[in-house]
Amino acid sequence: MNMKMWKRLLSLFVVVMMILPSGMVFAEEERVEITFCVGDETLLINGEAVTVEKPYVVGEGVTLVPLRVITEAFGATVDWEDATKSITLTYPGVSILLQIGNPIAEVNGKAETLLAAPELPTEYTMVPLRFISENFGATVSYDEETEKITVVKEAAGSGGLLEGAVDSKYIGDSYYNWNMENPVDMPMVERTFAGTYTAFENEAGYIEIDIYAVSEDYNFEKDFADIKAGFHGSTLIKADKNTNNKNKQTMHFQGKDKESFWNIRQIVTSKYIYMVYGAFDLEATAEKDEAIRIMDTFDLGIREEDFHDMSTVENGIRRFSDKHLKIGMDIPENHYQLDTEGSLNVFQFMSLEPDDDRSTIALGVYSTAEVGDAKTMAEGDYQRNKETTNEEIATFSGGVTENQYGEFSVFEYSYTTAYTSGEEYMRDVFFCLGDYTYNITVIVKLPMENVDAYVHELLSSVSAELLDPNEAGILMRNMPDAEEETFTVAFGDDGMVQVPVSYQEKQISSVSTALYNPYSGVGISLQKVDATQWGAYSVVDEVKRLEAKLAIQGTNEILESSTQKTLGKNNFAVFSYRTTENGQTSYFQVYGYLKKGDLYLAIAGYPEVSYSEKNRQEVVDILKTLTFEKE
Amino acid sequence: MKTRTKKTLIAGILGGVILLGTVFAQSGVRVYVNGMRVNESVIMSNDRTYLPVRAVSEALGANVEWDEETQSVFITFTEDDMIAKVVEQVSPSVVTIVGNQVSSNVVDSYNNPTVHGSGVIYKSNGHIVTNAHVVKDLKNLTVVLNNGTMLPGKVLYSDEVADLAVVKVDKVGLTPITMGDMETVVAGKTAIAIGTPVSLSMRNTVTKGIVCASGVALPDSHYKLIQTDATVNPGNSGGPLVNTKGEMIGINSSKYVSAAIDNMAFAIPVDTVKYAISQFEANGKINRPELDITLENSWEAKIGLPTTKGITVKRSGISQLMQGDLITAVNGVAVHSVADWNEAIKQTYTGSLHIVYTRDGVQKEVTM
Repeated sequence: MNMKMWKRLLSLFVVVMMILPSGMVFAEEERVEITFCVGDETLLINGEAVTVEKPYVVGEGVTLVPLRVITEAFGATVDWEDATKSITLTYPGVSILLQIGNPIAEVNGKAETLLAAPELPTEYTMVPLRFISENFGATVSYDEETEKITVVKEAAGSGGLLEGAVDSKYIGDSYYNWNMENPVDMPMVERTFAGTYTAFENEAGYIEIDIYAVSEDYNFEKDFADIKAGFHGSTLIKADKNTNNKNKQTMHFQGKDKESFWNIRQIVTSKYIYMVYGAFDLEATAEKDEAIRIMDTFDLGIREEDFHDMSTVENGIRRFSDKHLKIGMDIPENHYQLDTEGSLNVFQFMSLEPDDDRSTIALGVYSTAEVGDAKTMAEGDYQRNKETTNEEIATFSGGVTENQYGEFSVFEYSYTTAYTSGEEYMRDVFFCLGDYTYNITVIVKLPMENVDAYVHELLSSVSAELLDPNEAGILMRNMPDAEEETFTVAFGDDGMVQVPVSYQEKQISSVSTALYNPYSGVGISLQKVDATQWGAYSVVDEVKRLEAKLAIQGTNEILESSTQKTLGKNNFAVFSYRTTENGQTSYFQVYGYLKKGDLYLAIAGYPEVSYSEKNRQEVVDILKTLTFEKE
Repeated sequence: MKTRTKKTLIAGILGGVILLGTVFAQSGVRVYVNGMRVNESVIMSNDRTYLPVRAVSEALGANVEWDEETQSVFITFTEDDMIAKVVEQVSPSVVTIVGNQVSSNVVDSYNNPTVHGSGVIYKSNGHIVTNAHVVKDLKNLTVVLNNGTMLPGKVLYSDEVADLAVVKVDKVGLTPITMGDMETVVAGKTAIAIGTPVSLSMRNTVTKGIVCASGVALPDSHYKLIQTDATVNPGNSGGPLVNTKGEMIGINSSKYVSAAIDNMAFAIPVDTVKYAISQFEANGKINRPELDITLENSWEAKIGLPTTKGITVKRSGISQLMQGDLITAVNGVAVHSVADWNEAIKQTYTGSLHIVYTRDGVQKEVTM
């Protein structure tokens, strides 16, 4: 044996001796960091300086380091086989076989080609740094500036645990105060913003939970009868009710037909109606029975344990946000979101309180290019609202003023309306951000304490982020044009009038047509009455006859008795009256025109708020166009 | 005393080594079948290498029978055996990637639906390549290894244009796949897809077909794709398409779905995968030239006909090129379609572009 061999074995011996007593073995979870520069004799291993043989570079930038570096840092065990000059490195989960001069290594038995073969230039085995480190789970990086090589093996990290659906035993809503067993086999398919509607569905059927406000004229017995009547045409199996507790009246229906099975439960409190509605495939017996069992666990109150609360109410509000238009606002907990029929840029919320059908919050986002800037839009809306609102009941602020809510400088106006049924306060706010104009409207039912503070707080909660017009696109406001075209509508079977195109028309019969303006809520009925039988010759007399008939009905109050008015080329007689039903007041104007014994009647009906001079003038303008087919 | 012990110790070790040396002197030659070491002794004699029959054949997947009477060896090897062997060898490199969908939707937060795809381990220390669309908007990303081990994973790199991403798990000693060469991707050759289609209960199932075409330019794909008829379904995305050597030739990524179309699936070719990985490792992303121009295909290229027409600059935000310029080559590669352009960039772009184009009938060149 020559001296050289002896020396190699010696070094090997030393290496082995160093490793076996496990000098610096790191647990797999701990972090390892080695830093050094090529040509250095000292490395930093987790901050501690270790003197080694100098690493060097071979071939195309492959750094070889002393095997010792690796084994010390990672705590791998080393086996040397002299005959084949092979090294086996073992580390938990990894076994690497290297051979001096052989660029093919084995990792867990699988062949991999190294960028450079391990070398034994002196007495120390040099191995490719990157290959070994990476196979031990470390990352190797090189800093060009400092020429420093860093090897890092991170401590085992942890990501989030995979989540499944909510699996608590009970679910419910603490705001509406209900709970039910969790229908775990039925994924949730819908839940509205305010939680007024929740639906679960699978292939066997669905369960819906609907919550309504109890209206003042709600009649439990009528409701019961109506639902029961809905089972006509199918087989009724159950129709129970319990009215012992006036604050918690319940009803329970079951029915089926050839394909479906229904289970309906309803609980009525002084505030809400809770309807739990289930419809199932008749064939899916097991699923149906289980779903019904779950539905029947629905009750008022919430559970203390194993309960998933779906309510999103926090401090009296729910936070509304639309991620597409990047706006948000606090909405009072007693408001629910109206289904604005698929509109993506208008959001409306109304109060769910039984006695409040006024309080509303609306948000709209529009392209400034389409509607004008905030000031323009504010002034336009102020003007239009002022003209079309019943002057007698509405009190408008002096004009458009400036204000500040949070970060937004706004233009706004407001008005109060005193309906027969109550008062409301409306504030209409406008501001611009980027290419868009934002309009927020808050309507509050009066009386309310500190209305200004309440409205101010709501408006200050508005958040909006700059929109990219390429993403948000063009957003218009759906309103009729200022100058409208008209279309021809039949008045009787031989007369015609010109009506603005925004009106909806419905032909009732050959001599009767109904018109409706969806923006103002004004409706006009046009009819022709054959008065030849009683030889009518004075329109005023005929119309007076009608007036008299209406006057004796208790709810009607004549405002302006029959007078003659010339509209266009025609002589009309007109009277107006007002009627109040269920707390709602409506105004009517009856116009009559007599032609050869036939009475042409136009009856215009106005919601209380729309009985304004402008809207009345619109009706007059229509009637002015009355012409007849040439005989 | 000390010295003597030391000598004895050394002698002992020496002896051991020599002993070991005697037994294994002959096995200096190592045999690998499809990348895996055959641990049997190999004999060298007269410059010939003699391999153990059974070990090598069975490593190949063949059936070996020894008839004592006739002293004969019967080796049977069918294509079936080969394919089964390939699947056996490749499967440890195929993983399932599962996660919860990121959504601000109330219903999604309640249901926490999971989505999944497949992936391929390409480095034994836990680097996995998959489609970018598999890991997009995924939280609680979990990687399920072939043996059922579940590990949390993290997206290291992602490029949606190439539809490739790299996921990392904290595990060493995994079996990486061997990447094949594009030369082996030839129409007609067998292609095997491994992945987790449709349901997590079908982890790492295998389908087989052929390579229908090696470089198809689809209208909505940035790079050329391999077309295969190996059945792939949602969930197979990100999984490997391998050849009969067990080498990966592509990453399954999409298919055509239509009542009128059957069995048309597409995989990202292995050279694009290698390109993406090397770009990720070098730059953290795929470096593409940021040129403010819109390129348009000739009508022939739009419908897929071969053409030598070149591509037109539809709109240009840079001074070097104008609308209407007809580009015929970039960095020395002739381009006849936008797909050609993308492929040329992939192959040649290192920071500069040399464009050959025709303007008003005159051929010009520009470098930027």
